[in-house]
Amino acid sequence: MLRVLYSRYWPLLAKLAPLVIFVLYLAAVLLVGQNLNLANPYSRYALAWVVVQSSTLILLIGGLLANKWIGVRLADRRQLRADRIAEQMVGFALRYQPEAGLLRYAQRYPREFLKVWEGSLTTLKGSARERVLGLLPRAGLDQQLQAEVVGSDPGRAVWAISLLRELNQASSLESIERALQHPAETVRASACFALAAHGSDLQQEKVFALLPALPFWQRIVLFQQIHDSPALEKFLALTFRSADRTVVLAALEFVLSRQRIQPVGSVAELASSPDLEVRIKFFKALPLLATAEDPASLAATGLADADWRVRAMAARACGSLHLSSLTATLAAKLSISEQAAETGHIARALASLGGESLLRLRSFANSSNDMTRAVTVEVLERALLSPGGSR
Amino acid sequence: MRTFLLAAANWYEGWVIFYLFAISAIYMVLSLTGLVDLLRRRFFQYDPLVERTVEMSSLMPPVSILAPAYNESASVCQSVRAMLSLKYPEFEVIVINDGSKDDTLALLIREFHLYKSARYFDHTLSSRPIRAVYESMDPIPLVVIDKENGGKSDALNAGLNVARYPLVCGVDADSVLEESALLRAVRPFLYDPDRVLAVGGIVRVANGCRVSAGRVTEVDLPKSWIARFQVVEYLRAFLGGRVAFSAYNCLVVISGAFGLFSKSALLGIGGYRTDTVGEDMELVMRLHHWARGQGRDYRIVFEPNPVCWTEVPESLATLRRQRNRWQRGTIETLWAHRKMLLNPRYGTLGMAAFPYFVLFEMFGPLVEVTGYVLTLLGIGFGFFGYQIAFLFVLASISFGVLLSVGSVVLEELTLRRYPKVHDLLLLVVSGILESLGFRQLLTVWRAGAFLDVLRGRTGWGFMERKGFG
Repeated sequence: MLRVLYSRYWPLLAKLAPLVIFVLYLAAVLLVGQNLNLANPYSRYALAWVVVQSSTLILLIGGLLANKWIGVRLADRRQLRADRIAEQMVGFALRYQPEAGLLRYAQRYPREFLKVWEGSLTTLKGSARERVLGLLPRAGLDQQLQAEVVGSDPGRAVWAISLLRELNQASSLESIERALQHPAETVRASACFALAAHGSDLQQEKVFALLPALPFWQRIVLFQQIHDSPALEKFLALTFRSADRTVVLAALEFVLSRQRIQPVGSVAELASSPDLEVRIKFFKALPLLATAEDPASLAATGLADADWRVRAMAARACGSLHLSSLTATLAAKLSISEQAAETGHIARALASLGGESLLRLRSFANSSNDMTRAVTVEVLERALLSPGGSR
Repeated sequence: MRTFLLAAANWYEGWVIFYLFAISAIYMVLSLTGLVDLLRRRFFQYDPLVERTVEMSSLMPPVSILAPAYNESASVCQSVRAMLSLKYPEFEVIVINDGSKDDTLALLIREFHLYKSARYFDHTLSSRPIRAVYESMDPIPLVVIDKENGGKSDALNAGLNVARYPLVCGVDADSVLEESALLRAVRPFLYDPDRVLAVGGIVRVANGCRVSAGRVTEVDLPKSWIARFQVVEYLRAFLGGRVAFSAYNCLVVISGAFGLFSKSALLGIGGYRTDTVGEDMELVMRLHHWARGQGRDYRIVFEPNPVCWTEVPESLATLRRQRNRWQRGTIETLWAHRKMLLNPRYGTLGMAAFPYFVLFEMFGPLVEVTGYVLTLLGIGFGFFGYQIAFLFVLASISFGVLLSVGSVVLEELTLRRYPKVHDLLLLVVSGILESLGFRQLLTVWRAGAFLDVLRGRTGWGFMERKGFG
């Protein structure tokens, strides 16, 4: 079944499935109809249909209720065991219970044990957490989890990765690295996240190499996982100068995602990149980039851009970086801006610069352009209402 | 003459039985397709880390939540507080007070410390005049639009004008969204940002559930049978139908109670139409039209996991008005987009989903009701024997029960929101009892809507709400 789900024929099979089901249903009705002893064909096949429906119904209801009844009972039993394990786990974490009892439970009920172990790690801190962490290898469950990481069930593989990444052991990380080749995308993604957070420099480099090709949602998660390391520095140093736009965009997204100042060296080419998306994201990220060039000159390039979205982001950067030297340019742009969103960014930038810039902004409250006047009034109102807004 | 009538009646009754068989087979196919898709989703589990992490990411597309409110003073503050506590990195809640006659606006102003704001907005879409826009003095992303009454669609259009974010989420002000509903609904936009235009979430029945501080804290079944029947109906509609239609990119309706849309696409099609009572269905159909017209590779998706809880009517009079309105909306929409019918240019939508809706959702109630009438007449005047009449009734009932129980099976195999065996048993019983009168009653009401459309009836009618309090 798993092979079918992963295979490239799956989309075709999924499309054909309804037809197959319909044919089977029809065949069942015809088969039953042929064996019924009724002269009128209408009545015969209508009855056959009712028989097929009713049989399906009885099977469904029976299966459903039996499945639920068994499931609820099993869940209750598991919960009971988990409660007992949790009790012992607390004792062990607080050093008044030996680990022997817990290890026995781990052998007999590994699933319940792992659930409790996982829960404990989120609540415990310090030495108690370390003691509980050590239980898993001593119970030998890490080996079992390592096997599950590359197993065929994606759900279990993802769970195994989430447990193993807590261990932060070389052998566990190696098994997670093998999961980068797993046929299920979710497992590969989880492996990437785990290696980005806990992997060695070499393993991190592998993940960074995959980064530009990853789907957007995976990049979002990955960026939050990456920790500072020499591998990261090396990656960023190369990416901002890459000729590949996807690599540059991924690096800019990374900076935006972390919201921390990032030293990037010389990046003047990005300010005038032929790629519009790169320019927009570059100016969005500019307040977070420690560049070799003067940020005011970079922002000025952005304010002179042909596209209003780039100009809007450059104006926003002016406000965030307090580039008062660009007040006159911002005011000039405000007087000619035709896009409400751009006007809003420029006005907010002038408001956040305060002093002379705020005075310049106030003059636009009487602008003859309705949109400029309305946006200016809105921004001034917000500035007055914000804490310390009467500057 | 009598022989001819007898033959015609027998032929028609047989045809109705065949019709029921066809619809039953199609529903079965849809349910099983939905099951395969739902199981695949459950099988390909997501790392819980994903939800925890994206919640904090500044790369997530910001969302404007649009909540039209008309005379909602009973629940509006609780609903807004619940919306404001949604898990999502960046969003704004825009409540549109659509000329309420009660103190909805006054309550909002007092509760959330609103002031008349100078917020600028373009009048891209036409709507009834906006009297004022309010924002909160507190650091909460709340905007309240006070406008003249123009109906739900008109209110949503006003909200779209004021919204500033690239994604907009339409919700009913009296519905309750789960805390992570937005995070889950936005997933398709993250997975396939270039193609996805809209995402619909599942709407579940809140009657009977414990609601506190605008959150459903305990899932339970309603006490009244009318509401229980609707629980089964909602499961059938969402899990059986929409999952399957979504899998083939021919979803024709995203519930007005909870849907996430690309703002640029909504502006591209000119917003909501105000001259229909089925604005949610009509909007999705127009999105299909627009995207196909532009030759775009696009997706309109149903996500079964983001949940919106809603209160369903427990009185027959309110239910009748609601179903009449829904059916009128369906008829109006299908008629307005009749160009799509069997038009290969619209792919699976034109060749399969649209004909299905015309045959079984639009004309279905009429066919079924004429079948009932003919059965009664046939027996009364001796047109045909009890055998055929009995078979028709049996076929009609077993068809309904199978669909209802099938949807309960879908729920149990995939999402499992009802934890107790007792709940499941009640759902199965509801699925059986529903087909012994309730479904037939709805069918008669829906058939009546056909006449209302022919008579040119418009408007929503009064909807009585008890509130979650």
